[in-house]
Amino acid sequence: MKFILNQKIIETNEPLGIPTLDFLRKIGIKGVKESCHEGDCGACMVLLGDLKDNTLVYKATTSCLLPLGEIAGKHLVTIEGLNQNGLNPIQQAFVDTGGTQCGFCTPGIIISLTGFFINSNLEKNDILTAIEGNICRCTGYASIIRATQLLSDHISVVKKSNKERIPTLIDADILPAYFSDISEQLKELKKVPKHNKGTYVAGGTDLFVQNKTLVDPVFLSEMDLSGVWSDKTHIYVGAMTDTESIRTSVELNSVLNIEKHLSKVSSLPIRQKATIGGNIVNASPIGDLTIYFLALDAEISLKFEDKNRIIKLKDFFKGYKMLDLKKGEILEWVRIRKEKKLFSFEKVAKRMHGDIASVNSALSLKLDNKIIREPHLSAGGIGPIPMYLEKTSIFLENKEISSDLIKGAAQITDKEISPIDDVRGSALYKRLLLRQLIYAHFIKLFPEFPELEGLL
Amino acid sequence: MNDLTPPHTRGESVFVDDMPEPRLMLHAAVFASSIAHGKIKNLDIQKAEKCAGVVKVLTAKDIPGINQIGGIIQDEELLADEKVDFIGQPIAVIIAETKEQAKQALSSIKIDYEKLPAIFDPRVAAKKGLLIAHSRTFNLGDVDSVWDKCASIIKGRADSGGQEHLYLETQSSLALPGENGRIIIYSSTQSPSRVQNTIAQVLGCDMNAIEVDVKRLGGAFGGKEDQATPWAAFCALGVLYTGRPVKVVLDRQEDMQMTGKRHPYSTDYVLGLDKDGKILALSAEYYQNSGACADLSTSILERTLFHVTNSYYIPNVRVSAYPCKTNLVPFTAFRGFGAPQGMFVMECALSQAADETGIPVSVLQEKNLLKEGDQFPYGMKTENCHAKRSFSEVVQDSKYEELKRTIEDFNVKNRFIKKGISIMPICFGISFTTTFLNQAGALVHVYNDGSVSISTGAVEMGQGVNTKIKSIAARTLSIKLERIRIESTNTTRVANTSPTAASSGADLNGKAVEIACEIIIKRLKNVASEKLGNGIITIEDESVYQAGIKTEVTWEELIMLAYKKRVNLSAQALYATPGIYFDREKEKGEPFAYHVFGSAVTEVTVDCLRGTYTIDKVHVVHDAGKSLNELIDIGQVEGGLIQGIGWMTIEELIYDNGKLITDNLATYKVPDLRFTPKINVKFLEDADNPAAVLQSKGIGEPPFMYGIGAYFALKNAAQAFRKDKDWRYSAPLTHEKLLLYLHDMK
Repeated sequence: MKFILNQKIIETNEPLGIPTLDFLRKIGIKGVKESCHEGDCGACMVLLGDLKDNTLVYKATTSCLLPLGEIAGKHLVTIEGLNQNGLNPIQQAFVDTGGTQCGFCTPGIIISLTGFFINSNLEKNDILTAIEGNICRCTGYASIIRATQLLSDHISVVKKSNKERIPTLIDADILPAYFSDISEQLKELKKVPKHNKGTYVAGGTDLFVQNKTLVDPVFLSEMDLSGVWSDKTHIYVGAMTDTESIRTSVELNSVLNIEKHLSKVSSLPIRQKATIGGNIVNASPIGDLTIYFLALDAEISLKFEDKNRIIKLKDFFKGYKMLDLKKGEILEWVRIRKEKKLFSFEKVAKRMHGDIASVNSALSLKLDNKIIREPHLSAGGIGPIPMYLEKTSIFLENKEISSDLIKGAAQITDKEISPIDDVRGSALYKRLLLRQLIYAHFIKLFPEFPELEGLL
Repeated sequence: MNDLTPPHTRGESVFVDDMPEPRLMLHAAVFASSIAHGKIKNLDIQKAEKCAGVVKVLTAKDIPGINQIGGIIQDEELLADEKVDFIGQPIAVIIAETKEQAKQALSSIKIDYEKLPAIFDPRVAAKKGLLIAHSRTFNLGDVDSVWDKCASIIKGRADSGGQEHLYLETQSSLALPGENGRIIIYSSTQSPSRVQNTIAQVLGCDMNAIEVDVKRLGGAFGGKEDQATPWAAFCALGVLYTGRPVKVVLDRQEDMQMTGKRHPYSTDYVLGLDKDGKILALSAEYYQNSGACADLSTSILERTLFHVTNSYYIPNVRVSAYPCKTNLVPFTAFRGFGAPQGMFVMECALSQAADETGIPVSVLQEKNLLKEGDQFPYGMKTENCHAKRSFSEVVQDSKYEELKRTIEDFNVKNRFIKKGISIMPICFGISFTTTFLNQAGALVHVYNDGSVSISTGAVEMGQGVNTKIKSIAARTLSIKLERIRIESTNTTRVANTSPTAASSGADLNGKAVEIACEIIIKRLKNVASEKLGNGIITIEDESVYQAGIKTEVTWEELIMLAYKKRVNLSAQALYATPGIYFDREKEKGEPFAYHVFGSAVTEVTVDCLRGTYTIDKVHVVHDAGKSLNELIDIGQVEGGLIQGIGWMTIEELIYDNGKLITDNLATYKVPDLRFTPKINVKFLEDADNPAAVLQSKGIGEPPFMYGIGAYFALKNAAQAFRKDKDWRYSAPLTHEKLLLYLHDMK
């Protein structure tokens, strides 16, 4: 398979399931650092450029979770590929503010910031979002934040439309001149041949944490399974749609405040990679997207060859990592009803950004003259599967909202769940936390009922 | 500007694992104990030896010299022989053609243990008399005689957790065979001479056979002071047996499982105050969880005792500390070196005193701050004391009183969002408390084109010591920075180096460089005098001045002249901090060259519904002496502060029967960009420090302890929500602990 590494076309016969990070360091690209090898630190950040509808799009991504097969036919950029004579404005800003101390995390941060400048979707005040997936243990981030403030002088470059972007960044010395030829070169590179036996890989952001290398990866990204669309009654989310696309989807944001809800879910590089299908099929009891869509009473389509069957998402989970998924079936899409409901998503983790929840929970309902209709409550981290809290949801149905009712509901929830002591908290804490999150759903959704503060 | 930033930002800075791999290099993987305590009944490596690519499997039996790496107390085997004392203890090392092959062969090692009971709680260990070394007690005044005079006596318990260093570069080492038994080690260590010395002992050779070279570290924070040594020793043993280069780079999980961290402490304290809140007495017992072997624990324990009173004067003190032997990985140096644990206890006692007496904690703090000439429990008296000054400046600059009122107002108006505030004064002694370590060497060469090469014992790990040293040399030689290059730290150029630690890297090595440069300048002045004749010679801005008048002789010409006159253009110097000593029999002395002072105001917000929090803002007034480099020093304050806040809040080590289960970045959370508060750092003006190089002060560790303020600001906010429940002084104050305080599961 072939890809472009910085300004050189590389051809390799290495297995497609090995981490790109390992490959790069093996061939002597040492500006890419290994620190955690699980997507949590950003020291191995690279830019991955791909042609989408004839436009070259780059994303910053952690190369430790990026199998080699995923870079076939694409442009991979490391810090070596950004260096020019002297320092570029991003590098200079870090020098001027003391934004680097030991220097181990620095190349990854420079890459992430370059990704910010190339990426058209980010607004000025989101420059920090671009580096929220980079851990620095020396600076305490203050000088890094000052570096980004210095860089805001260059923001005007970013406002140019997507097509003009790369030439303007070359003019601003943020990108080397060779970037102008990449688009043409990529058109001539052949994609990797498809094969269909082996382990399915969606975003791989958990798979490649659990397995550093896959012997037989089948990349679902090559199937046409991503995107958000709707018909008259439903909004559909393709299984391979990444979390960031879901978060910023116009369709979903027309009925949900999903942009805000998912802003604390992992970090940008991971959000751009992790898919809803991967989140659901992985069946982690704590998957944020699964919990989110469970409370929307979502349905899923499971496809086998030309046929598909549609089931409720809540019926998909049969036990710890056990699914109602037949051999050969692929999760095709997730759909929710196209309607506005009151909706709340809560998540508490050890660290509020870029962390796995201790407990997460979501609730949707309608309020009909103080009467609760169609409530759907879900919670994660409190049992072996991502839980749809059936009994609590039924209990709430058609009842008048009051603090007593909600307290009663929380008591039913407490009987429905079976949390255990683990690395994310004690069972006692998780019980208490879920109770509080249920209270939080209602207090947040109904500020017009001050009586609910009695829940505290 | 930090000198290193250009190559850092270009990804061109070379760390051990980035070095071009030598031909025929082998890789090592470490086989470690999976049980916390037991006897090794049988260790079978035969199958592993036959695995693909395996060249050698090292066990204790392969060690030609002494199987011992204990630096202070000889109680730690390099490779466990008959007994294991913690999970993660190295037992064997597989050396193979590739990293993958070395790791794969690990599972082919067969081992049988006879399990023994394991202890993880330092108090339990103390009760059983299981100590790493004897306990220590510091005494001042007469504690027993003053309790009766106290208006209030505060009794309590405080616990603080361990902390993973999480240097981004994991432990790494590469060893190469040289001629005549020479082994060259590239190690990511803070202590090149310690690596050299230990390997010589393990191999049974002279130290001069071992060359250790250190270019830079990708962070260390104390975690590579003692704990970098075993990995380097494994590589050296590998070279000995294979004759080929050997590299080991731990992956993150191995590093977290196998290397030591900050010591957890558990402490009982009694604090006595008069009716106005003046502290009359402190009595306390500190149980240090030392882990399975001594490592640096005894020195860390000692520093805890040096800092029990933090920034306060207490006339009567009796404090005892116990280094408790448990079956956990040996705990080790981490920024602050035991002082944060001691100072946290002091603040807990004051906070509890405020709760019990009703006197605001800031009043108690201010009333008891150190003033000039006050005595510490170890006998030393304060000199150039800035405790009160930094406290009052931070109160003023942060508008503390106004903030406090605003917060109280906010808390009345908001049901479940509460704000909190705290002040955290610090006082930290600079010097290794083991007096002989306070020495540093420098070797300065001036080449005959006028360029300069400097070697010292200092290791660059991101703290900017090389930049500081360069500026000291440039000032002393009166030449441009561009002419100077700082070399790697290498035991063949500078011998018998002390670790780069104790915030003293720039102090000690900078001073040695200053002395060496002065020696050369003196020689150069003689050369100039000979050429120019009478009149006082000075060198300024690369030119020779005679009686204050600029001559035509430039730096380059002067150097060439000296070279042709066969004048020595190299100088070696040793600096030894004068006047410090400590008598461990009497537990009295003057162990520190000076103290660093400062104060921080921390503002936080607690979501009492969910038990979560944000650290909003920290205002710091810090005593940096006359800063050698403000950009670097501000970075040290900010970075130390955030690490300290992390230790107090979200960083939690969780063990399951002695096995660390928070052993990766997904489960052990360090502060990220979003967690970072707004930070405002100001340096005290007119705080020149005659006791260190160019009036500066050490800066690495002291700011860490400002982070303790976050704990008490969170307590302040939580107690605005409820105060009917006893506060348990237990750090880190995780979301879990906070929620369990705020609410009861009825």
